Amino acid sequence: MSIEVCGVTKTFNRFKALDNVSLKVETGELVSLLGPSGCGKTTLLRVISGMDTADLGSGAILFDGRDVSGDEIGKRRIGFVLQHYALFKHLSVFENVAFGLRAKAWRQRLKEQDIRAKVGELLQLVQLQNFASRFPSQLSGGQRQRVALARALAVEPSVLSRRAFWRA
Amino acid sequence: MPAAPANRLASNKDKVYRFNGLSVRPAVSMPRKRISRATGYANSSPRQSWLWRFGTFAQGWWPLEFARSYSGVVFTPMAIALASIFVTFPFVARSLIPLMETQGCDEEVAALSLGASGFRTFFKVTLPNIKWALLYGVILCIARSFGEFGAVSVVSGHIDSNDTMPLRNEKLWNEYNNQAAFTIASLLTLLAAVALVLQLIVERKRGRPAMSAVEGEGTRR
Repeated sequence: MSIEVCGVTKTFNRFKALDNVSLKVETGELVSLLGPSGCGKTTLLRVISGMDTADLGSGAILFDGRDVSGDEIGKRRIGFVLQHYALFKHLSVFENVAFGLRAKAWRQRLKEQDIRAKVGELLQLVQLQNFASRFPSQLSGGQRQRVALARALAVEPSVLSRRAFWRA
Repeated sequence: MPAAPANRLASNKDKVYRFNGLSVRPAVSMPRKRISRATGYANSSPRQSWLWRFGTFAQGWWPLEFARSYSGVVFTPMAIALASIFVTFPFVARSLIPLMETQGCDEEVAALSLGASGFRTFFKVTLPNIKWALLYGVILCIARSFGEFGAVSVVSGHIDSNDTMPLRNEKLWNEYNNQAAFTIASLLTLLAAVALVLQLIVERKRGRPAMSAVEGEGTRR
């Protein structure tokens, strides 16, 4: 999926965090935003992902040429690994990864055994298959990060967005 | 601050005050004639006054019509519930707001990004995270509503079927029915003790997840 940002501006009170930013990312490209802290990397990511909206009438965000400025965060199909991973601390690792699968509308939802199989596969991928029944507070930082990655991948996003650096 | 001259209001007749960019001329400096026009006082007819016009406009409009046909909620058990809610809900807010502020909205954002609906996010993510604090607030609410007297006394209208325990207690005491009054008083005390025990239990339960949140999630913004 290609992402195109056309002249987006975002202002917080009087501070201009993004000033007429344009960016084009082609399908399959791996892009990283670099810059000193506070220069607007996260703001740009937030606007692209739908956690935040750009200023009214400032520009559009196109996914595959389609304007998604009005779409909700869940509809844009972006996988997130948030800064502090934001794992659901009351759910086990298994349930954390399965959350996105269980949240689908029931027509599209997989059967229970398919969910199990898929979560098992993902946990294998991040090498946490033995930790399925643990809770996030019982994991190390790196393990938590991998759970967050598996959780984001479970819903098969078309873009993976990751803020900050890998800490492990 | 220098003392204001006594005739300050009079001397500032033409001063225009500003609130949020709106200029507001104080009513004091309004010409007498316009005041009398607005209220229908002095030599203009009251039917031409803006007050009268507003009154005729507002007739048949919701609040007045509603008040005319509806016998009202006051002096019913519903009124007591509303009054209790009004005085007790700050307890829930006070126990929830600090917790939710420290937790932030990261988990909700994560849930939404995984395609969960608002309802699902609330019931599966937000509610489990705040449930003990919520329960704690509810217990404080209960304790408070046991003892709530003033507001409830007014809206109950001293009707027997509307009595809460403290209200009935007061009535019995005023009727010199000491035995019944003391019975209710001791029942209330018992209930207070139960609420206290519940509060202690919930407080202990609540302490645990909050602590693990502090240790487990690392530094938060």
